[in-house]
Order: sequence, then structure tokens, then C-alpha cells
Amino acid sequence: MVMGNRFPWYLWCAVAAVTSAMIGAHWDISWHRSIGRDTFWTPAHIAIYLCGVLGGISSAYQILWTTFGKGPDAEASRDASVGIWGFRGPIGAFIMAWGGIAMLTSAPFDDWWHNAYGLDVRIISPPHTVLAMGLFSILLGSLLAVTGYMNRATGSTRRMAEWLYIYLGGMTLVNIGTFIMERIFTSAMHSGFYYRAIALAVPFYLIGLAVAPGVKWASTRIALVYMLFWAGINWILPLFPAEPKLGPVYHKVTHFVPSFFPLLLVVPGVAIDLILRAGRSWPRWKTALAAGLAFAALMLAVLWPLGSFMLTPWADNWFFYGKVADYRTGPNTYTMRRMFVPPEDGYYWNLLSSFAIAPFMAWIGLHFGHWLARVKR
Amino acid sequence: MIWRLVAALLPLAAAAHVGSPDVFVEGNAGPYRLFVAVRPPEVIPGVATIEVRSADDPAPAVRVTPLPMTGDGAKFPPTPDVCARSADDPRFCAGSLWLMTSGSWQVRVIAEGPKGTGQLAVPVPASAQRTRAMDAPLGITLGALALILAVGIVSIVTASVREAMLAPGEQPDAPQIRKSSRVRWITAGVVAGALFLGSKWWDAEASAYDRHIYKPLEMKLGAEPGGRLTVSLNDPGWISARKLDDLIPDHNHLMHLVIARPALDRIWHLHPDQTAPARFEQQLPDMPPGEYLFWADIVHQNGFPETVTTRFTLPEIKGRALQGDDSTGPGDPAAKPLQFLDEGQTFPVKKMVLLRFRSASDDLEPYMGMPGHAFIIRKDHSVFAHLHPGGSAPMAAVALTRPDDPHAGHFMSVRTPAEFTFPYGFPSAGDYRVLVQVKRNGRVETGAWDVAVR
Repeated sequence: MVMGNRFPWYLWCAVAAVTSAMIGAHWDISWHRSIGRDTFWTPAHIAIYLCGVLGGISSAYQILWTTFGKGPDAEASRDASVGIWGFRGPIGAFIMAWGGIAMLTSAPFDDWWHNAYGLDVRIISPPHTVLAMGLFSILLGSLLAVTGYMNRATGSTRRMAEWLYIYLGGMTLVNIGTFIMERIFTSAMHSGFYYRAIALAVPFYLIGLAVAPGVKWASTRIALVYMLFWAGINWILPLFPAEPKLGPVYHKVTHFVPSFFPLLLVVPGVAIDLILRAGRSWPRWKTALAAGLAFAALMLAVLWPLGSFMLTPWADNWFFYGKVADYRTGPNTYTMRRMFVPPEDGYYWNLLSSFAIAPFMAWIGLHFGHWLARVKR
Repeated sequence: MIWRLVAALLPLAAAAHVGSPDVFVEGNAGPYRLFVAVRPPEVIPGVATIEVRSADDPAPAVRVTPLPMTGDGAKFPPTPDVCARSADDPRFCAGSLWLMTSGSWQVRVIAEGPKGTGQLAVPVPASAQRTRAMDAPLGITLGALALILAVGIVSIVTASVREAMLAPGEQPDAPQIRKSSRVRWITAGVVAGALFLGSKWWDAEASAYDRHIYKPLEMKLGAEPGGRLTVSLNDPGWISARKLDDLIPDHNHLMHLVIARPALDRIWHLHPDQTAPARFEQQLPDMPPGEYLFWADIVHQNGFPETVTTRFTLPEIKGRALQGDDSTGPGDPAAKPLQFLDEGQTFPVKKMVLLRFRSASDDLEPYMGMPGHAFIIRKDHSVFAHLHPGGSAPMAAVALTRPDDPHAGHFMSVRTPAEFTFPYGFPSAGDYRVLVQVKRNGRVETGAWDVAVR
């Protein structure tokens, strides 16, 4: 796309699409934990599907204007585009379009699924997977569209693109954090699987995405975006009333239930930034090893004591929301008793494996990050 | 996967009754007389619909909430929903209810009005009935979208390798094009593999769901010319919560066995004794040889009712006279013990109606605690329902909804009214036979009427 002084609206539109999806996803999860039942037309679902609409508008404009536009600006855009099925456009726009079609497909598929096999009992079903792939594609496409623009831009538009890149990087962490939510609940903070899940999910993004923008403290800033967004939405949701509409109701709920305090990713974020700066001339494997090990060690160092704190009365407040439970939480659950779940089989192995998984995921993430840094279209 | 798109509908089996899954109840919610219809969903978890008509004017405001019949869940109901009042008929309201698991549920209907507040609990058995097939237009649309998505991924990955990293205006060189071509085929293989695994996943989910579709109990019969009938129930496998050693009496009997000749010109309403879990015995009266239809009504400990059905050919039975609550009839088709006030009327499909009966004299006695028992049988035998004036829910299940009321499952008065009604909704169009039993002077009398439903 042509480089002007004004930042293009369709990239703002893409960012709005991603934001809408992340708000909608957290709202929807809280909806199911507070009210229990829903319809297609809940505001949370509309926010999720608005992502498809906004992503579709943004990508359709980019592709159609680049393909059929007239004049020197359109010509310049065509020069900075890729070709698919006779259309031209930024690669990110095509990925967003794919995500939009996937989300569109998931709606009738999910509706039929409910009629054929019953309403949702499990979050991960084939139609929900199509929806999740669509959402992820719009997120990835938005990131690539902004990255391609950033890598070609200069001056103030470049700086704006860098900020949007950081913001979208934070959104990828919100997205992956939501995906592993069922594994990283508060009572699991002293379990091995908790740290293994984080090592599998986070370093790819937190380390990989810090490479492309070439700005200082990228990883730290991406982590901060994640933490502020996650904490913010969980501070806002409990302000609104909600009551269970599905039984049995084991725990009285009067307001939307928040999830849990965000992972303290800013701590490994600072370490990753320092390592990336110090290791500019290192081979990729060495950077990955150092950053991955630092990530795993610091996560253990900060989340373990945070877990202990979260189970104390000191965390029973609006800021930490340590004492929350959904309406299905029975009185004998670990959550209600404010206890950690007992160590699982293979606990030490799971804990130790996070020190191998994190460097490996960092290594893959660094490859992705360096590829992103070269994306120009 | 494809066969799932065109799979035929499985036959509809209802747990309580046969081919008649909806529940109809007439009862009091405190000072208010209510007529309630609950239509369970065909898939579980699913949404049931509820319709409530009030006999009072002005009608009370109605709220409804579903909860499991027994267990911890029964103690912690969710916030009731408002039953939305009809704009045309202020005494009628409708709502929806989420039933999350197969099993025995109850719907609490709460009525509030000028006369105060009252509550009526309606037992509702919930069971997954079928898998809905995907119709052709939706199948074709989703298939086309899946194809676009699959080919789209391959094209996007190929284009990203070929061009995404080139500076503006630069053209991909030959090695770059060759590399993107290799990536195209690798991606196509990955996508094909993902589609294959996705299809296997879909099949596994569908097969897991199929296991939860209601499978009726099986009934095996044995008969001796001396009249000893043995009844064995067998569980073909459904949800693990279904047991055969947990039956509870429904107005004093663990089993109500209805036997009819295919022409439905005569029925026997018997009550076999349980000799061991799932094993019953009954001494038959004199019966001519031939093929008979058997329907056995039982109720599980959690209030979940089932009707087990089979056909069986009996030899000529030289048995003993009927005893206790056992009965047969009609002896003379022309002799009616009651007047059917709606005789000759054509009834609507699904809509709740009241089948009204009147006795010429007020000498009716309770028969097993009830003014009357009605059996609704479609002429092709695809529908069987056993009703009482309180409705189609078994009284044993009604009693479970009111654990504090020892008389919840019985009609209280020694004298029965001369006029009474059976609330019901015929599930499908067709010709039905309605058989009603009452007790008079210590003898059970049976009347039979034909009913058209259109």
C-alpha cells in the first residue's frame, strides 16, 4: 500500500477487529461462568463476530483497491503486493480474508452442530475450532498487514506502525493466554502442568515478536499490553450484574465473574529484551537458549510466590480478584477451599520440561520473528 | 464425514410413553390452576419449550426454572425465567428451558398474582432422541466454503514464500518460484492431513454423541399355558445412570403392564410382581391365542419413567381370574362407563387439549388412587401414552417433586368427581384409540373411543 502521511484507516480497522474479538472472547467466557446459557445474539458473541466483519471490510478494501484501483497510488500498491487467484494485495489482507471466511463458515456449522449433537458441552469442538482458526487468522493477518506496512514505512507512520505492532503482539499473548486458560487457573499455580503450558504457549510470541520491530524494550512493551488488557477487562467485567440462568447453582454469583490475574510476563519480557540486545551477534540457537531458559526460570520465580499470595485474604480485592468462582464451583472444590490442586503424576518432569520446551519454542519463534522482519508486502 | 451429511433421521423413541415425548400436566400452583405443556428437546443438551395456561382471570405472572429431579442439583436452582405472556391471550405464556444432561428433570412453575404465590413442579424426562442430518443446501454450502478455505491456505502460504519478502516492484526469481512450488505441495499435504484428522475427529464426536441417544430397554417374555407370564428387562446400554434394580412403585406397583390385541379392541392392565431385579411374573387370566402388544411402564428411583414395548404371541391361556388392581376391558364395546364429552371432535396435532369425561352417576371410586386411567394408542401402534387426570407425568415422579407431601402421588378424596379431564397433546396426525378405565362398585370398567387427529 502507498505510504502517505496519514496512517491508513484499514489498519485501524484491522486492529479494531482484533480488539473486538479479544473483548468478546473474555466477555463470552465470563458469560458462561456467570450466566451459563446464551444465544447466538449475546453482546459477547456479537463482539466476536464483529471481528469477522471488521476484518472482512479491512481485507476486502485492501485487496479490491490494490487489484482494481486506478492511478499511481494503486500502481504503487500493486508493486508492494502478492498475487492470489488473480487478486493482488498485502499477504496480511489475504490471511485476514481467509479468517473472515472461516468465521463466516463456523456460524452455520456451529448452529447445525447444536441441532445435531446438542448445545455446547465442550469448548473445543470442530465448529469452534473453525471459529478459532478464523479468529487467529485475522489476528495473524492484521499483524502481518501492520508488519508489512511498518517494514516499508519511515518517520512518524513507521513509529505509529511500531506501536500498533506492539499492541497486536500483546493481543497475540491475550489470544494464546485465553487458549490455555483451562490449564493455568489459580489453584494450578504450584503444578508442573501449569509451567509446561506456559512454556509451550508464550515464548514463541514473547521472544519471536520482539525481533521484528527493531525497537527498544519490544518484549517488555508487548508483555505490558497483554497484562494491562487482561487485567483491565477483568477489572471491568465484575462491575456489571449477572446471575446464573443454568442450574445447579453451587455458588452465588451476582456480577460477571473475572478469570484470573494476568501472568507476570513483564518480568521475563525485560530479561528477553536485555538478552536480545546483548546477543545481536549470537547464533540463533544461543539466543533462543538464553532467552528460553531465562523465561522458564523467571516464570517459576515470580508465578510460584504469586500463586501463594493469590490464595491469601490479601488477594481478595478488586485488583487481584483472588477469590472468585463461577456458579458451578462446588463448596468442596480446590477453588472454594483456596487450595492448590495436589501435584500431578509426573509433576517434576512437567516442571523440568518447561526448561527444555521454552528454549525450543523460543527458537521457532525467533525464526518466525526474523521472517516477519523481512515481510515487505 | 460425508455420510453424516446425508444420514437418515433415527426413529423417534420416547423414554416415557412411546412416540409421545411431551409432558402435559394439570395442577395447582398454590391458589392458581395451571395447565402446563413441556416439550423436551430432541438433542441433549438442548432447549425445551414450556407453555402454561392459567385457569384464573386475571392470570398470575409465571416464572419457570428447570433443575434435576434428585441429587445436589435439585437443591440449587438457577434464577427462574419469566414465562412470556401472549399478547393475544393474557392467560397463556411460553418460555424455554435448558436441559443440560439426559435424565430426570423437573420444571418448577412459580405463579404470582393477587391471590399470592404458588409453585407447581412438573417432572420432565430428558433424553437425546436423535442426530439431526445436515440438509443438502447447507451441506453443499459448507462443503464449498471448506474447499475455498483449504485451497486458500495453500495459495496464501505459496504466495507468502514467493513474494511476501520482495521489495516493492521486485519480481520473484526462478529459485524463489521453485521454492514456493515445493512449499505449495507440502502445504497441500498438510492441509489434506488436517482435513483427514478433522473428519476423524468429527466422526469420533458423532459416535460419542450416538452413545447418548436414548436406547429403550428390551423386554423378553415367556408364557406357559397355565398362565404364568415371565417378563425380563434388559438394558441394551445407554447412560451409566440407568439401573434396573432401582424401580419405585407408581401408585403401588413397580410395573404397569398393558397388553392389547393389535386391533386394540381389548386391553389387559396388569401389575406383575418383581421376583428379582429386572425379573417380573404375572398370572394371566384366560386369553385367546394370538399376537399381542405389550407396553410396560416403570419408574426409576430418580423419577425417570420408561415404557418398554414388544410384540409377543401367546398360546391359549387358561389362567385364573384377575385379582387386585388387574383389569381388562371393554367387555362390551357398545357399553360405555362414561360419556366422552368431546366424542366425534377432530383434535389438533401437538396442541394441549383436555379430554373430558363425565359419569352419569356420582358413584365412581378411585382406581389405584385416581378417578380414571387413560391409554392413548395410535391405531398403527406407534404411539402409546398412559395418562391420569393430573396429566402424563407418572405419579411416582410427581411425588418426588414434593418430598414433604406423602399424598403427592395420589388422588386424595375417597369419592371421585363425576366429571374429570385428561390433559394431553396428540403427537402426530392419525387415528387413535382412547381407552379409559374407572372403578364403580368395586369393579373396573373400561370404555373405548376412536379419535381423529388432523
